Amino acid sequence: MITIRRAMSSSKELSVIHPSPSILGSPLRFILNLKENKNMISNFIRRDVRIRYRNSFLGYIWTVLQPLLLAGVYYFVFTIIAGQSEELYPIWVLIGVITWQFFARCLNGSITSISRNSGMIKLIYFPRELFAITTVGANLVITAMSLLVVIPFIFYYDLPFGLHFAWLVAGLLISAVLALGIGLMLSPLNAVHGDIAHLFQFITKAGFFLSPVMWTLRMIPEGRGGLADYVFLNPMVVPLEMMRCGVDGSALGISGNWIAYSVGFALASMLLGVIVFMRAESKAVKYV
Amino acid sequence: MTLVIDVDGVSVTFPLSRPGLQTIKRKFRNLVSTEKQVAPQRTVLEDISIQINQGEVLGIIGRNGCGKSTLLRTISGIYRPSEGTVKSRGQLFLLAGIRIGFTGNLTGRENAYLYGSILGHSKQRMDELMPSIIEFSELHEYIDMPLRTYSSGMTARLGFSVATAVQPEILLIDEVLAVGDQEFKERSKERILEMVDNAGTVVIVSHSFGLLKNICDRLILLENGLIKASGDPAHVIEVYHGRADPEPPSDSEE
Repeated sequence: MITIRRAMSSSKELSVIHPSPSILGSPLRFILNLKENKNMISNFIRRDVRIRYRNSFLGYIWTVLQPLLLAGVYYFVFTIIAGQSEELYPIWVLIGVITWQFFARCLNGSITSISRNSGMIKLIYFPRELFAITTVGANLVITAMSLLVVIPFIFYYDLPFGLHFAWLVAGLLISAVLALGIGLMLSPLNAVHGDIAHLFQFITKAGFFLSPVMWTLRMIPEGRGGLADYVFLNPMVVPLEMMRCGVDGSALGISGNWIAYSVGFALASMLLGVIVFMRAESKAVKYV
Repeated sequence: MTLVIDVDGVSVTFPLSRPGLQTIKRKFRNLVSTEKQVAPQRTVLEDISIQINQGEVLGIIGRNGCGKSTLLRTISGIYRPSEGTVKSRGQLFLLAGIRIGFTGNLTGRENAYLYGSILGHSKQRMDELMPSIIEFSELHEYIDMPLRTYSSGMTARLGFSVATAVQPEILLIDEVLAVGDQEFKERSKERILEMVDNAGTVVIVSHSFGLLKNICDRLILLENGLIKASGDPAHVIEVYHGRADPEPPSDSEE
């Protein structure tokens, strides 16, 4: 007879279904849940990717068209109106927009992961962190597809091909881990106080201007009295610059300390996010 | 007799207000004051203990809001008890919403695979189950059309067929789902009864006393989150109607 495996250990002992994990046990539980639910995760990601553009005429093309149009606006404002003379500016801003959109969607999507899915949460139990993980996964797939748009630019500007493409992977991974970490940390709180999602709608809009999305570190004028260093406190600066170097092949030119800071920031928020989420979600779902 | 579900002193409370300044104030006051204050909350289940053995069919009855659904959800892991523990042995399945994750712009087949994976089936398992799902739901030529073109009855048929495609060891049923047209209703009821027969253990919440009398070994009557009566189905139903004393008949234990 066929039987169902659902969120249960296969052992035949009496066991607690959804036990409260300890602080140290949370990361372990998190990883086990990922492994045990691979099929569900990939199905959810496939659904999210498919439905995002399924009911539109241009479909997938929107994935590349949207950042392209937005980059066109900034090109118009900065290059044509303000006289910005960097030759590679159009591709820099395009990469910046794609990366920031990815980060903002992952962050806002995982912050609202509990409140958005309240219907499903009340009907069936499976590890709730999967909602945030699949949101990030779907955005990763969509962003990877939209990055294909830079290929014609690479040929047009005659940019080199080579190992520097690995920066793209590193940049996306750091932003994904950062967004997922902060998102997991805050989604139980957002289930209790919906204000968090509103606040982060604003933060991701402000961050768009405060991070090197439509400007780059190279554009900061000399002699700002070291003020430019404070820019690096923003953990998204390093991944954004990595993405640019990944396309134009230039050297990253950021000190190792700041890279370590950014990677460490992402990993620390991930660890903290997992612990907070695993311990708070069961209380938070009583508010949705 | 093996114990399959052990509900031990379970209380489930729901907070009435969101934590805010009041919570902080209360915390500070509790530091100094001897009279401890607690956050306003609603106790939906209070100190419930139920032992369910292998092969038993247990029915739960009670008025709306007495905690029936919360009890099932707590057993299935959706809510963590505020106090007490719930333990179970074997694979457990809550038959409640039958269209989990359904998305209008995906085809019936895609939705079935998604729902199947939520229920814990692998892709290969779903490949095997798909013919019988299509057969039972009678969606044949419609299965590859977008779900948004389905009638609500067709959607329900698909959901029911996926949800019941596999026989679980422990079956939790929140209301017997009568979906679709008359003919499908009959067949779905038949299938649930079949599942009840085959499942090792069943916990069923329902208002159809006739059905419960037929299939249950034991009934529990919940009232305001407490067990008011438990035991012989006919007796518990009498208690529900106020025609009998909650105390069990003399031949039962205690």
